Amino acid sequence: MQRFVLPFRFFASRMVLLGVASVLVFSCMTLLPGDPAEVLLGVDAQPDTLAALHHTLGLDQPFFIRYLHWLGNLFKGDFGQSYSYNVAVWQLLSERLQLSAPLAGLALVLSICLGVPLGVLTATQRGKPIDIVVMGAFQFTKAIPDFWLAMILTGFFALTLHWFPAGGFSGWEQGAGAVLWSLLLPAIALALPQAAVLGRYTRSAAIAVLEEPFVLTARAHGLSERSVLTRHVLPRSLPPVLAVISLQIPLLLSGTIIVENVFNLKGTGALLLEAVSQRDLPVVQGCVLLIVTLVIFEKGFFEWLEIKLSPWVSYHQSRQRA
Amino acid sequence: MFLKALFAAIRSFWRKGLASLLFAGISGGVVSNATANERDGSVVIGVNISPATLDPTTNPSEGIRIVTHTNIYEGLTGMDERGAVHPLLAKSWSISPDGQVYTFTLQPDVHFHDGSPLTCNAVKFSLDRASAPESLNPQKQVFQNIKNISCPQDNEVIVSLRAPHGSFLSELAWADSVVVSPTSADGNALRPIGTGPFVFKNWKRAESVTLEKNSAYWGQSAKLNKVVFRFFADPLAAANALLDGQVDAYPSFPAPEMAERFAHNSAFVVKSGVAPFKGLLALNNRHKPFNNPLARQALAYAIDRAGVAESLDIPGAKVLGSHMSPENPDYKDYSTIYPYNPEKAKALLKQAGVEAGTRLRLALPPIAYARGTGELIAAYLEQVGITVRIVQLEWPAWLAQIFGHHDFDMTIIGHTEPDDIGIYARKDYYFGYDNPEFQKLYATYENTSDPVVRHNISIKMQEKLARDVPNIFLFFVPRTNIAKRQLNGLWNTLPLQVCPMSAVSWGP
Repeated sequence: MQRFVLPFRFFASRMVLLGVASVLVFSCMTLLPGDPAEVLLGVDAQPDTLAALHHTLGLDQPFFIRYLHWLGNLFKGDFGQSYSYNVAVWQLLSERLQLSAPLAGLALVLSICLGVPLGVLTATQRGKPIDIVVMGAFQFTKAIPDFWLAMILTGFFALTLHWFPAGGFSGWEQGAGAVLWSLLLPAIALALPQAAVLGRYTRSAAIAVLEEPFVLTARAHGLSERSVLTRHVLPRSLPPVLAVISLQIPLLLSGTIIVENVFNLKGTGALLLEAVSQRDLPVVQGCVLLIVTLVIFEKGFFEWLEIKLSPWVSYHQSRQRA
Repeated sequence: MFLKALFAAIRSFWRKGLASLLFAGISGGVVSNATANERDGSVVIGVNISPATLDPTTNPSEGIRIVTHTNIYEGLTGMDERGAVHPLLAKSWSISPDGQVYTFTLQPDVHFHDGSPLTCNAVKFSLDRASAPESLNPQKQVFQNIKNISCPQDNEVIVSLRAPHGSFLSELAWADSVVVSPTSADGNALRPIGTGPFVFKNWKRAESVTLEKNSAYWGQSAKLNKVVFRFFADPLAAANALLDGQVDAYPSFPAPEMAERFAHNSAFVVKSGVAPFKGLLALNNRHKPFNNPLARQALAYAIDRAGVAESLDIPGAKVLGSHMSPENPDYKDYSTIYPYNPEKAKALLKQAGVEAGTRLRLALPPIAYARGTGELIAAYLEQVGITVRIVQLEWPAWLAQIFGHHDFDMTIIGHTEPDDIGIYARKDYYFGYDNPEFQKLYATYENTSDPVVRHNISIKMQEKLARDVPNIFLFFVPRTNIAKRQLNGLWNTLPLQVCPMSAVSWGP
C-alpha cells in the first residue's frame, strides 16, 4: 500500500504547487499595468483596431473565464497561442529549449567536472600551497559577475584569438559539434562561478568525512589513498554536494539571461523576459510552468537520489512517514 | 613557441580586445568572412528588433518592416530615398478633379511568389482586407476612407475615396498598404508572399530571416543572391558581431557612442543616417496647467533645447524645429520662436496662474533618450519654479497610462512614423490637442494633392504648432549606419522604416 501511496502523494502535492504557480502568474500578469494589444499595435493605434485585437485575443472576456479557458486547454495538452508571435506557445518553448537545454546541461557538466574533483583535491591537501591557490581562485571566480566574465571571454577568445564565434547560436542543423562550439564560451562563463560554489561545498563535505573513524580504518586496512578517496570519502561527501547541484539547476535554466544577451543567444530566459515586457500572458505562463515543473521534478529526483545514497536519511524519513 | 604565441595574444587582447570592451577604442584587426560573402553575393544585415510575425499589414513593428517591406512585399506606389512617390505595382495613375477617384493601371506580367498573377482583384482584396472591421492594420484609417474599389479590367483599379485625401499616394507606399495575394495572405505571418525582388527562404525565430533573389522578378532584378537579417538584443553583442565579421552592415547601430571607434577602423564606413524621428516633451493639453497655451509657451522658454540635444552625446543630434523630421522636404525649423529665457518663462507661468512650487509628473518610458534627458529637463523646470516628480515606466505601463488613459502631465517620447503631423488634428489622441484652426488647416491640406499647395499648407501647420506649442519639440536623433567598406547601395536616408536591398551590391 505504502509503495502506491507515496508516489501518489508526491505527484498530488506537486500538482497543487503547479496550480498555485499558474494562478499566481495569471493574476500578477493581469494586475500589472499594460495591455498586450496596446503593446502590439503601438502608439498610432486607432481605438477600433485595438477593440478588434482585444476580441481576437479574447481579452474582452473577464479574468476568471480567461483563466478557466486556459486551464481547460492545458488539460488537452494545449499551452495556448502567443499573443505577439501568433503561434503555439509550445512551439516557441521547444525552439528555445533547443538552445537553453544544451547550454544549461553543458554548464552543469563543466561546473561538476571542475568543482567536485578540485573540492576533493583541496580537502586532501588542506593548508598546503595547492589548497590556498585553488581556494583563492574559487573566491575570485565566485566574486566576479558572470556577464563580465562573458565579456572578457568573448573579447579574448573570439575577437582577439578568433577561436570561437563572438556570439550567436549555430542551430542543430549544423550538427552537434557546431552547437557545442557556439555554446562552449557561454557555458564556461556560466560554469566557472558555479564550479567555485560547488568546489567549496565539496571541500568542506570531504573534510568532514576525512575526519570520520572509518577513513582511518580503511587506511589501516592498507587501502591505497586513491581507493580510500574514491570508494569511501567521495560517496559519503556526495549528499550535500548533490543538494547544491539541485539548487544550481534552476539557476542555470532560468537565470542565464544576462550571459545569453552578451552572446546574442535567444534562450528561454530571453523569451520569458520578452513575453513579460510585451504582456504576452500565454507565453509567460508557458515559460513559468515549464521552469516550475522542471524544478519540482528535478528536486524530487535529487531527494530520491539522496535517500538512495545515504541509507541513514532513508531510515529517518520512513520513520517520520510511518 | 605556443607560450610565445599565447603571450602575444594576451598582449594584443589588452591593447585591443579589452580596450574595445571598455569602449576605449576599437582599432583594426578584423578578420572577416566578407570575402566568402562577397564571392557568393550574400549580405548579412544586423537589425535591433526581432520581428514577431512577417506580415506588416497586421503589426507596426519596425523589425517586420525592415525585413519584408520593399524586399518581399511591394505596394501600388513606392517611395525613393528622398521620400518622393514613384510608380511601383501601379505603372501609372490619374486623379479625378475633385481628388476623390484614383484610377491605377497595373504593371503587366507581375506574379506573386506563389505564382498567382497580380490583378485588380488582388489589389481590391488587399485594400478591403486592411479596412475590414476585424482588420488589425496599424493604419486602418487610411483604408477606411476608401468608399469603393472597382475592377473594370484585370489591370485597372478604380479607388473612390469618401473624402479627398492628398496623402493617399504616399500612404500607399507604406508597409501597411502592400499588395498581397488572396491565395496566400492568411499565411503571410509565417510565410510571407509578395511580388518583391526577394523571396522568403527561411526564418529562425529571434535569430535570423533569410531571403533569396527572386529570379522571376518583374522589374530590375536584385544584385545580391542572398540577404540574411540577423537580430541583436544587446548593443555589445551587435558590436562584437560586426567586429567578428558575422554581420556586414548595421543600418541602425544601437550604440551610437561606440560608432566613433568603428570610424577609425578601415574595414568599416560609418555614416550618420536619417530616418523619421521627432523627440518630444509631450504635454497633456487636456488638463491644467497645459490646457492654457501660455503655460505651454512658458515651458518652451524654460528649456534650453540646445543643451538637451547636446546632453544626448550622439553625433548629429540636434534641436527639432517642428513636428517634422529634418529629412522631410517640407521641414521648417521654428525652434527660435521661443528661445531659452527662464525669466520670461517665470513671467508667463505667473500670467497663466501657475504658482511657484506647482508639482507636475514627468513620465519616462524605458528608452535611452528619455531616461537620459529626463533629469536635465526636470532641472530646467525646477529653475522656473515647477517641482517635477519623475516617474519611470516600463513600456507596456507607459502605453497603458499615457497613451491609453491619458493619465500624465508630461512625458518624453520619440515619434518615428513618417508624415504624422495629422496626429495634432486627432483631439482624442494622447496629448489631446484640440484646436479648430489647426484641424481646418489639416483638412485643407488633405483636400488637395497639388504638391505646391500642400507644401505651403504644411509650413503653415508647422508654424501654427510651433507658436501654439501643444508639445515641446526637443530633438532629432540620427541613425548610425555602419557597413563594410566594400558594400554599396544601402540607403542612408530613410523616409520609412525600410531597408531596401535590391540595389545593394559588393564593390571592389
